Amino acid sequence: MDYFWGLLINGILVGSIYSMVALGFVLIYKASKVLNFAQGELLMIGAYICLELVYQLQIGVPGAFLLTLVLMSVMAILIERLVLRRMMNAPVMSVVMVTIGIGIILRSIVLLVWGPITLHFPAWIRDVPVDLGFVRVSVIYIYSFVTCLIFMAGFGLFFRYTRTGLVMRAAASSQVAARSVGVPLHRVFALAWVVAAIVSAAGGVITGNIAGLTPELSAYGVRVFPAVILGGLDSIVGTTIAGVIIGVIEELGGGYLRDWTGLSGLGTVAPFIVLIIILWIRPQGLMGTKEVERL
Amino acid sequence: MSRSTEQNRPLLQVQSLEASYQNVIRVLHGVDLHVDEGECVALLGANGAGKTTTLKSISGMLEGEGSITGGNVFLDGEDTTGYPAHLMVSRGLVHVLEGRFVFPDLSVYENLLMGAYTRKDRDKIETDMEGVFGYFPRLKERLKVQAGYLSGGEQQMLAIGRALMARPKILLLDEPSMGLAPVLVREVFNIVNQIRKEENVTLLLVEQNARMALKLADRGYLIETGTIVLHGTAEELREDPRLQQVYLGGIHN
Repeated sequence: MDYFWGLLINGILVGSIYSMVALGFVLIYKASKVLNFAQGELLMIGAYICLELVYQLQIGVPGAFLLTLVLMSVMAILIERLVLRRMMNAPVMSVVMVTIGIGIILRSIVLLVWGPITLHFPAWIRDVPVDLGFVRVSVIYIYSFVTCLIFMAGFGLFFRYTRTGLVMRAAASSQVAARSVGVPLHRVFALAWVVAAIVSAAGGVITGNIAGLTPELSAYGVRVFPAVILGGLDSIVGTTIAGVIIGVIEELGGGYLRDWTGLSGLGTVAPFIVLIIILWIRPQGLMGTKEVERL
Repeated sequence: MSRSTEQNRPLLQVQSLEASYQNVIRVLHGVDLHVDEGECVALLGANGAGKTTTLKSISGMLEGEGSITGGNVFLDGEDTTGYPAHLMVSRGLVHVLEGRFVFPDLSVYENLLMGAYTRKDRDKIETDMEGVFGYFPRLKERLKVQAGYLSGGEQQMLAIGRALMARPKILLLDEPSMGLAPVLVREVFNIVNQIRKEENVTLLLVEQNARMALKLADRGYLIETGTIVLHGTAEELREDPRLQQVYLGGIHN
């Protein structure tokens, strides 16, 4: 039974990272109907930038983390300004292709600068297991979970209570209406990319601290995808729940399937299988909005 | 013909405007019109004549589906040809689109707030919202309701009310009566008339309901296949046999 609880808690903790990263994905989709296939690469580059800052500036992981968020925001604004704004009136498919291109460029940069070997953050927290009573969890997972919660609650409040949050919700609700009241859409898109870059970088730094850094971190983009689809593509709440579900499925599936079959690596496949089954039953995802119809 | 010569300077002037969709289909072939300050001008015509395209070319809302290929738009003396919509709104020109584009996922209150997006004087927004409720009491009753759940008439009211929140100098109204029950059509027109008088806002009105439009307007233009074929005062147009036959159903007012 302890085995089960261990996997479950691990799943929730890993899932919270998925939820956070998926938030960026959903946001860009809501604002501009673009599927951002560079999300995983943003996560990867965020982790590497943070690592570089830690070693170059000697400011510790938390300080470097905050600085990374700033740099990632700047990068997001540059991507919007230099690449995406030129694609403003292009077909959505072309923009999606461009995001794939951005991803390839970022991955190449990482390979060029840091190489394919696994790098590690300096150990900055004493990795003692915390006893939750029924299960013991590594303290780094607790940190990661709390960080994810803070980010998601922060963005939740931002969307609900700030003027800029309202503008972003408005643009997501109707681009045409947003233009007609005078919203410059490119600014909303830029902001969506900034948020996406921030949550990705946060996910990257957390994952990097847990498992080390390789260019393979970019695969997170694909691993988050089941959460995004399961959540309904355009529902932030749905994606948050779906992220945790996917994390749990991955851990439980991985753990038990390995025991039963003797094959490792089934954990990563399990969410996709569950995803296919769920989408048979509910094609719009868990909480994907059906369009509000005019009466 | 028009009485503009004795009037103020034109607030909006459109000169030989040409526009195409995706650079292929030319819809406007040189449209000339002007709207003076304080005036209400109706742009009449059949389906597909180019009314909506004219408005979108002026307001910058054509971007993404088509573009201006010739001619000029002047707002308040400034050449604003091809400006994107957000620059036109901040200059006081607001376009209420055909088909009531509200923010379906936002509440009525949030929709109205968004109307004031370009306003610098944020402290006056609440007062102006009360003003909008004066014209549209229904909106106040449904303040917290998601706009997507409003009826067609209420959405039209919201679209107009939201436009007022920008404190526009000139409003472009595209088919405010479309798809509404006759009772509501009259109500919407009455309110527009009231707004016009009280808010000192200039109006360019596109309508298929020519009879209604000419009751409201000072002057009118008739557009056919992308060019202006007739213009004059509302009275002149009402009496014009061409307009009467085709657009007023041959019934005398």
